[in-house]
Amino acid sequence: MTDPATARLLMERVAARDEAAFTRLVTAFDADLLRVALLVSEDADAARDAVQATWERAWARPPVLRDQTAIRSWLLKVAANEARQAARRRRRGRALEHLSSRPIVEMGLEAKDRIVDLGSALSRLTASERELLALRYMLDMTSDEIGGHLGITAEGARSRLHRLINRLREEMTND
Amino acid sequence: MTDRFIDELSGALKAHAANVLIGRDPAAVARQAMMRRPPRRLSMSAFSAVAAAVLVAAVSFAAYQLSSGTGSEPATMDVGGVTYGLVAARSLLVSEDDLTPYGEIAGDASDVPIVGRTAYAVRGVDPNHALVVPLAAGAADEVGSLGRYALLIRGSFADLCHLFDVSNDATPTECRS
Repeated sequence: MTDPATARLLMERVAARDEAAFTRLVTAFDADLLRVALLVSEDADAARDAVQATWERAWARPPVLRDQTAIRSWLLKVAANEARQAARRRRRGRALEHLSSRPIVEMGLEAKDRIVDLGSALSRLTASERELLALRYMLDMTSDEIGGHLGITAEGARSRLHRLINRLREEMTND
Repeated sequence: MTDRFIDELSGALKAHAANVLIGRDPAAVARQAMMRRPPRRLSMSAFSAVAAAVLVAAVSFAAYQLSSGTGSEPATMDVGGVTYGLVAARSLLVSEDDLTPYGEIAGDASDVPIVGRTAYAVRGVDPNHALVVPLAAGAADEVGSLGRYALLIRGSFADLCHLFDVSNDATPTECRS
């Protein structure tokens, strides 16, 4: 679905209650939405619920968007917001269910005695910061794409990521 | 130059997501979403509850209204001889493709920095109920950024919830899921 006209036509078919078109839309973007929702909510079940709510909304009130970038961006925003709400509901201090029990040493990092696990480090970030990490390191979006998605400049996206990585690096290798 | 920390971080995050994605069937996800029933038509017995909700919506509308230049009165704008209230719409999800030029802003009793003098109709929305006006980049109030558009509205948000990101904190309360 790389052709803008195809993407737009697909959304128009979804708006016209074309079930096959909707299934195609879900197939194209579901994994990306789940990745972002997972990191934002820090909970696999909450992420699944958030993504399901996103798809229910897309089916019930499909937006008219001009191209694939806009469609993906809209879906990612809704999924991240749904996941953010789920994150607020979850009990405070709960860490990522898999990552929290996974020592960061498995990532190959050195200084074992000083390492804090990745789940704990991520749980200290805000949901927006985890969303940024997901966009860059799970979806492999460029700074230009992230900037367009978040409504900031590419340089702004680069700068935020740089600060975030430095913080994570520092926390995870802290004395 | 590669950064081993970033490579490992990216790998760990992707591996974690891969675990959650195992066995996920997008077709089943789509089917479940499509099975969700649309909101039911309200019975007469529910009418009073709806009337109360609309009243609440009308009251809470004031919470999003922007101030006029004097700061003591709600901001309004006149378009086509009709006066609309000007409200913040920070979580509005409309795109340029949804907009059609509707009319020139004749009376402008606000100090909100708008771009041009044209108000736009939004696809699927009665222009007598709501229009949007583009805002200057960086437009903000004491709450924060006002976003790309402000809403010109007569009445309540009740019929406009589909224009908002319902899960955003900035969205009018009555539109939040």
